[in-house]
Amino acid sequence: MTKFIEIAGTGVTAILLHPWRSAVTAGAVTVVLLPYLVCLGLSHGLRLEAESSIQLGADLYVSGIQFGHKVPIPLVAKSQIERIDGVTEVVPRIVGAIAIGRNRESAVVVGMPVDRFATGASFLEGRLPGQNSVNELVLGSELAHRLNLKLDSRIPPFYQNAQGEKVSSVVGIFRPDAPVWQANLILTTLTTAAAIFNQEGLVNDFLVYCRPGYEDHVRAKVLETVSYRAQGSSGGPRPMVIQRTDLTAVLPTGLLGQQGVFELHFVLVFAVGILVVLVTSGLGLSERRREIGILKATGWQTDEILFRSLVEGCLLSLAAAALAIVLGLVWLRVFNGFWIAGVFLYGAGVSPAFRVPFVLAPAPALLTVLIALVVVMTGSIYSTWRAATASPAEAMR
Amino acid sequence: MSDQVILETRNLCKVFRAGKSEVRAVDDLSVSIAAGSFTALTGPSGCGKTTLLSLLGALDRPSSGQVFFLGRELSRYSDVELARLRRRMGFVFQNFSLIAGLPVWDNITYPLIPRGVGRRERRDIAAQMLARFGLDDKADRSPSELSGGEQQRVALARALAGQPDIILADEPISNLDPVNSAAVMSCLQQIHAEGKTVVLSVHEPAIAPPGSRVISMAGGRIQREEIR
Ligand SMILES: Nc1ncnc2c1ncn2[C@@H]1O[C@H](COP(=O)(O)OP(=O)(O)OP(=O)(O)O)[C@@H](O)[C@H]1O
Ligand SMILES: [Mg+2]
Repeated sequence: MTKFIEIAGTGVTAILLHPWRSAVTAGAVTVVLLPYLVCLGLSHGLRLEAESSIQLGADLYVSGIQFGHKVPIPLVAKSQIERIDGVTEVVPRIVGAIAIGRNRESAVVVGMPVDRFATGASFLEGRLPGQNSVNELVLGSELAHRLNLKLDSRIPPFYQNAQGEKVSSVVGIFRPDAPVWQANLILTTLTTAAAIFNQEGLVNDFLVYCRPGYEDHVRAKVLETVSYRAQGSSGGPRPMVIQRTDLTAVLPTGLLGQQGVFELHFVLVFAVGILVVLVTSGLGLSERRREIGILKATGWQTDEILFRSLVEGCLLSLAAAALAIVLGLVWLRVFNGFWIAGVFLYGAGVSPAFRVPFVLAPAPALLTVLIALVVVMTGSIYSTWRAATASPAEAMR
Repeated sequence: MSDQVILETRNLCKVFRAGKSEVRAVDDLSVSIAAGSFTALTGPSGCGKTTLLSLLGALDRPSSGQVFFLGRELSRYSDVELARLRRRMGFVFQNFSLIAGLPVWDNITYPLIPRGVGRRERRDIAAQMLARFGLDDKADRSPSELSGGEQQRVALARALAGQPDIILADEPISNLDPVNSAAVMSCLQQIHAEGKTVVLSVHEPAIAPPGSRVISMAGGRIQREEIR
């Protein structure tokens, strides 16, 4: 027992024996882990926010499908759905993409009855558009920031429709605490949205609220009875229903931009990390090989030397993981995900104008510790083992 | 002196390859070393003394031929058995091979750690060894702060700290002034008097104590052997 405690002790002092090597190892592992942890934190935060907003959302999303594509549907179908048993409310909604401003910033226009806006008043600077107003807009903070629009700014005519050009005004701005994907939104009334797209009488979907337990019944009834077809016509879209649970499965991947970059980084963490540790822990360092050779020559067993490296690697990886977690927290909280949020989230610039959502504990932090352990252990145990199984004279040369 | 052979080599060869050229550092060398004997290896630089000592000390693998410890061939030893064997041998390296950054006392007793010797006991043992070699005040120094002769004595102290049965010392006095080399030689003689086996390499065979066996090497072979 004393033997193992004593050997473990030499593992601890081994870190201080080569302070530069230890610092480089821990530092390199931290550097590769940090972006990974931050992205993981962002994606977890995003997922959580998406899930909670879905919980607050409608029970069913009814839209149309035609030739396999989701298509707009006539507003008049609203009454057909309202008649179904168990339906408590049907909210029509328009969602469409536009480009706005000199730099053609892309934005998403959402039009729906004002009283159904999901954002609470605390998220709002200014006010909601008037119930029957025209061309009153509420902008997400990110979009407002990029277009340099303030409360009460006038927007010169940015759309043309059958009624000609109209000047719009900003009556409200989402405060930074609004969910990420709302930062690029333009919220307005159904009428204004329909005018912007020049599509009177059409909506993208209906948000359907049901009495508890009626979801499946309503879904079946919608598919069975609702028809978007004009009288006497045999063409036109057919109904499509998405349940809240389907959305939960779909949302997070859809929201994370650059998923590929994220996965590439994950591979890099392992490849670069293990390589660095291999070099710093002995494969490339003759000093370290020599030291292991001396231990071997003076009667240390291979397993005892490996145990010593194990303790050393454990502490180094914990230090690296702890450092990465602290830096990650600073990056996300203090610097609000500067730059990295823009790389991984749609609609966030280099310096996001909204508070980026993130969750570091427990899963991302634990995963970081785990990866640090795997990376450092793989590297240091392999190179130690190589040195320890060579003959001592060879290792000491 | 007993007649038991503690170390023996048969047709031992160690070949180093450097690019195309080949160096036969130890060449078809057979020798046996009796338990409790005092043996001095001598010969010109590059004749293979260091190589032979590290083969005898189970620190290197022969290219061909065999080394026996108490009649058992070393290639039959498992990794753990080899480690145990090395604990019975104290090796003094020509280049000292101390661990830089570790204080002197820790260097001396590092080999005792896997034998389960606690820290306090290790400090005591180190203090005894240091007193024996006149280095009392150097316990907490780092090896790099010591002179070559002092490092030499620390290396010897480390070899002796584990109370080995055999001392294999590679030029243990080549860095020492006459006073210190006399001290080290008398220490080795004292260990020999305690019944331990001593094998050392020296440049100057004259310093070998009376009654010791002097083996002269050249080109990896034994050239001449005499009892002083
Ligand atoms: N690792 C090595 N690679 C190649 N050649 C080597 C190696 N080690 C030793 N040699 C060669 O083997 C021969 C014997 O070397 P060794 O170190 O055993 O000599 P030595 O008698 O100890 O010399 P010295 O008195 O200078 O210490 C030398 O010619 C040396 O160049
Ligand atoms: Mg030599």
